[in-house]
Amino acid sequence: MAESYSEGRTRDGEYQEQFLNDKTLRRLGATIAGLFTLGVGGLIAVIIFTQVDFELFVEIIYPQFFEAFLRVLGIVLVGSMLSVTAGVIVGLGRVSNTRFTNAVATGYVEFFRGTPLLFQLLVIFTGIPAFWPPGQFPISDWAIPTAIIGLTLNHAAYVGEAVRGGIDAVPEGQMEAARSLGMSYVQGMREVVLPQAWRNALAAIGNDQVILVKDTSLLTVIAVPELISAFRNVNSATFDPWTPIILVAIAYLMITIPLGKIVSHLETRSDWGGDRR
Amino acid sequence: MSLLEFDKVDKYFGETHVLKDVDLEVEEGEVCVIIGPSGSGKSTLLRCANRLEEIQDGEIRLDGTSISDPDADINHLRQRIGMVFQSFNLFPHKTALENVTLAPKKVKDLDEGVAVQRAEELLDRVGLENQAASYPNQLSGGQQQRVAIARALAMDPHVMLFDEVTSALDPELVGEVLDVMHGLADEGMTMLVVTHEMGFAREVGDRIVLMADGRVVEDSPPEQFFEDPETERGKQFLSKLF
Repeated sequence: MAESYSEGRTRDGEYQEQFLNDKTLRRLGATIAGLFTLGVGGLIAVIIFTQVDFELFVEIIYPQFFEAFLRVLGIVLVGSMLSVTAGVIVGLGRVSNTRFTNAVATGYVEFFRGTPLLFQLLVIFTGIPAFWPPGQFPISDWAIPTAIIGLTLNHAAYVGEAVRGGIDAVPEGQMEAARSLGMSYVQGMREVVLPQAWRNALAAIGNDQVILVKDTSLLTVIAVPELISAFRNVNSATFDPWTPIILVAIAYLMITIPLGKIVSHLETRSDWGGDRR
Repeated sequence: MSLLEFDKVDKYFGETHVLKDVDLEVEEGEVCVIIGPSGSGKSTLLRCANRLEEIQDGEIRLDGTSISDPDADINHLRQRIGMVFQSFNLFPHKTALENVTLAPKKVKDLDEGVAVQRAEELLDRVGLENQAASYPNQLSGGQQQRVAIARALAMDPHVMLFDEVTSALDPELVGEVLDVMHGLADEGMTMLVVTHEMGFAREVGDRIVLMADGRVVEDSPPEQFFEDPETERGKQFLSKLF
C-alpha cells in the first residue's frame, strides 16, 4: 500500500530522515491551499466592505450590464454554434486523403491560429468596408457581424484541430469494419467514426468554447458594447474600479461555469456502458 | 468457376513484395484454411479479398466479378464478403444489437423492425440472445468476437473471411468462437480462414493452404497436410509446431 512508502524507510528497514515524505507533502499542500483561501477571502472581504459602492452596483446592473451580458451571451451562442459546425468541416478537411482539400484545411488552420484574433477582427472590421466607396458600405452596424464572423473563423481553426485529433484517435479498424460491411466512406464517417471522434474531442472543444467566451472581451476594440466596454464606461464616469470589476467577473463566470457543466454532462452521456474493458 | 478466385495476385507495401503471384480458388461451401509463419502474407491476402488492401497486379474475382478492378462497385461487392477481424472492431458506441443492425439498415435500407428481428436471430445463433442491449466494453473478448461474426452474417454474405479471429482472446475464450465458426462451416458457408489454431484447421478445414514469403507453398487436404506434407516447407512448418 502507498502508506508503507511514506515512512521514508530505506531498504534495510532503517528509518531515514526525509525532508519531504508523502505525509509532509500532503500537509504542505493543505497549508498552502489554506493560506491562499485566507488571502483571497480577506482580499474579497476588504474589497466588498471598503471598495464596492452598493448603490452604484445596483444602479449599473440594469440596463447597462444586463444588456452587455445579453449581447455577449448572444454572440457566444451564435459564435459557438457556427464555430463548432465550421470546425467539424475543417477537421474533416484535415483528415482528407485528397491532397488539395487537406492543404486548404491545413492552410486555414495555420493562418487563423497563427495570427491574433484581434488582428483578424480589425481586418474584417476595417478591411471589408474598404471595398466600397467611402460611406457606401451597406451594413450600418458592422461591429456585431464582425464579432460573429471573426470569432467563428478563428475558433473553427481550434475546433478543427480538436476534431482532427478526435478522428485520429479512433482506431483504423473502425472504418475498416464499416467498409467491410459495405458502408461507404461517408456512411462510415457519419455512423461510426464521427460519433467516437466527437467524444474524444469534446473536452478540447469545450476548452476552446470557454476561450471563445473570454475572447469576446476583445470586441471592446471594435466598439461592441460588451462587458469590458461597460466597465470602461462606468469607470470613466465614476472613477470607481471595483464596483464594475465585480460585475464583470460575475457576468463572465455566469457563462463559463455553466458551459463547463454542459461539456462534462455531454461527456458522461456518451459513456457507452462504462469503461470496463 | 470458383466462388472466390485469386489470379496471379501481386501486392507490394512500398518496396516490399508481400504477395507473389498468388493463385488460389475457393469453391462454394468450402472451408479453406490459410496457415503459415507470421509475415508470410496470409492476412494481407485476406484483406485484399475485400479490398481493404489494393493489389498491384493480377485479379481477384467473386462469382466471376472482379473485386480488384478500380471501377468495381466495391461497396456492393463487400456486402457479399463478410469479414471478422483479430481485434473485433465492434462499434463501441453501439449496443450488440445496434452493431448487428447498423449495416443492414444503412446499406440495405431494411426497416428497423426487420433488421432487429434478423439481428436477434443472429445473436441467438451465436449464443448471445441475452446480451443484445450490452455495449461492447461490457462483453468479454469471446462475446465481442461472436457479436462481430453476427454483424458480418447480417449482410447475408456469400463468403466469410476470418482474420486470426482468436489470436487476441484469452485461451479459455477461444473455444466458444471456434464453435460458432464450426457451426457455420457445417451449414455450408464458404469460408477463408487465417488461423494459428491447428486443431480447428484439421477438423473443420476442407483444404490447408500453407503460405511462406508471400507465396502459396502447399495446398492439400488436412489429413494429408498434417500426416505427410508434400513439400519441404510444409514439413518444416509442421516440425516447428509439434
